[in-house]
Amino acid sequence: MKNFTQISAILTLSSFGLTVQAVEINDHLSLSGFGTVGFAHTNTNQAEFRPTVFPSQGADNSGLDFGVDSKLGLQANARLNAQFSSAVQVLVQRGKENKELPRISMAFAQWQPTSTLAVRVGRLRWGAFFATESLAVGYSNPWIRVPVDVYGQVPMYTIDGIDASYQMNFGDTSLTVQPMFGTTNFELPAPFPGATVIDGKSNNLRGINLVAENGSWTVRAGYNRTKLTVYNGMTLQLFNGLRMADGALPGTAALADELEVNNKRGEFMGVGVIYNGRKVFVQSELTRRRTKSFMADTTAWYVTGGYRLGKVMPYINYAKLTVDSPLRNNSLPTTGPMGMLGQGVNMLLATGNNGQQTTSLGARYDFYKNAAFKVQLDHIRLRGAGSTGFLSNVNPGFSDSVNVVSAVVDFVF
Amino acid sequence: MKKQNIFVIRGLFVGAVFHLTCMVAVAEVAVVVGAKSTVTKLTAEQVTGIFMGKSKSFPDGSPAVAIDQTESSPIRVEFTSKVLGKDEAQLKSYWSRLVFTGKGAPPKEHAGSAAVKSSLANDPKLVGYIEKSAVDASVKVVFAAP
Repeated sequence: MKNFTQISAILTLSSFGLTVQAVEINDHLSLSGFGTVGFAHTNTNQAEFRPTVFPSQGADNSGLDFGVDSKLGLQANARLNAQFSSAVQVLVQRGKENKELPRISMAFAQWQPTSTLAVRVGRLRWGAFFATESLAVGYSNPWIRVPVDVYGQVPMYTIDGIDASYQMNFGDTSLTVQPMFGTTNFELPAPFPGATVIDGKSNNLRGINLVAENGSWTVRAGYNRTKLTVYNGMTLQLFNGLRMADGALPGTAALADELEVNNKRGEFMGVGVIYNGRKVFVQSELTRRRTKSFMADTTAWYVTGGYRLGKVMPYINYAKLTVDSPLRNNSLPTTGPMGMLGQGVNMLLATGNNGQQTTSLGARYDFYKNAAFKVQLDHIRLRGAGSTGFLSNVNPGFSDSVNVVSAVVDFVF
Repeated sequence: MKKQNIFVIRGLFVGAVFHLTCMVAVAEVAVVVGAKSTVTKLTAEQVTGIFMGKSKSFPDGSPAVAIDQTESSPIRVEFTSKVLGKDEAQLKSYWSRLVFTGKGAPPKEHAGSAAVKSSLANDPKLVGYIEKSAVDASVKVVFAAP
């Protein structure tokens, strides 16, 4: 952890010395990279703040946590000729088990038969919402991090598969159509102490993104559908128990089928708009998650507004996630000989109790040609009884708000 | 000693003001193609589309490839601000999103208007920008920033 921070700090400093564009090794190969170095600190020791659902550890009120937002990405682009090229990206950031392990975050071969069509095969950044693909590239985003209230709905950032991008021009408006197909695996931290990690798989992932751009305006709509499988030792035990209990409690086997995320349909959709003018910046998205399982159905949105004063852009952001499906099952007894099953089901449903809202105030200062300094204050309020939002290691009964202060330097080279 | 300091400060100040004046008094920008190109005129929106990778062809349908000048060069700052309507940081942020999602690459940089002109002369697909004063018979002006 400490090493990682030091390495990123050194890289940050050395990147200022580099010419800012990618390092051209020769006409065919170039190297580039991006990163973030910074800390987060909160006002509580009752819960920890994390930027995604992946690390189980987050920032609290004990010192400055440099692992929340710090990350480093390195990318190599190879260009064979006008039609064929490839890219490989390695990303190091705090992930599962709270370790900074390098992962291949992108690796594809691209075929561009015409100037308006590109087909890519390999590991691709997956675009569930506007900023999902570039989520790790802090420099490309106005905020220190994408609003977790919205982006926390989907724990998938890459797909192994194929996508295409077709660009059309209508007058001064360009329209890009991007269909995608693939599969992805993910591993989420244990939902509570004593539980085991959660394995996830998204099969047969089909999606389409439409992006229209005209001048300062960008409008996007995306729809993705997949077959999800999500389990850990505890869920398997619970569903076994429910199926075995069907004789004594008719309907529990059907309930297990209904709740279990075993090749179940999951849908992720969103619409968004960006206005990026000379002075005024506005970005907003409305997104939804729907699954036919114990995973909660959710709606989340955010609005960001910023105003450029030279190289400084103060911004304000409001983000909110609402749970649309029941977080309790009232058909099973929670006491008596079968009480364990009812309690288990309710515990399972409660893992979707992520309702929260965040108000953020921040500023971005482009102090150097390839680096930006950002500070951000977040005020997070949990919404709904028993909600833990996207916080981790939440003490039972904690329902206060959490304030987060963070400062980072984002850089690209 | 004190006096020297004041001189240094004054020197820096004069330097800064001079630098600022240079930026303000930068030459007008001409968007140009090679003399052999069939393209005759582009609108500001068409230039922006091509330079930001949103359009890959000229209005007549022939392929278009933008070429850039060196980052932070006065002509590039002027072009980015006057024609693209952005500052350099905004543009860099825009390209970093495309580069690191594998969706595009910024136009290739050229060191100076002479380098731009020599590239344009060899390839009718290319479109670049130079100081208006650097325009000669080897290039055609397709858009002039007001």
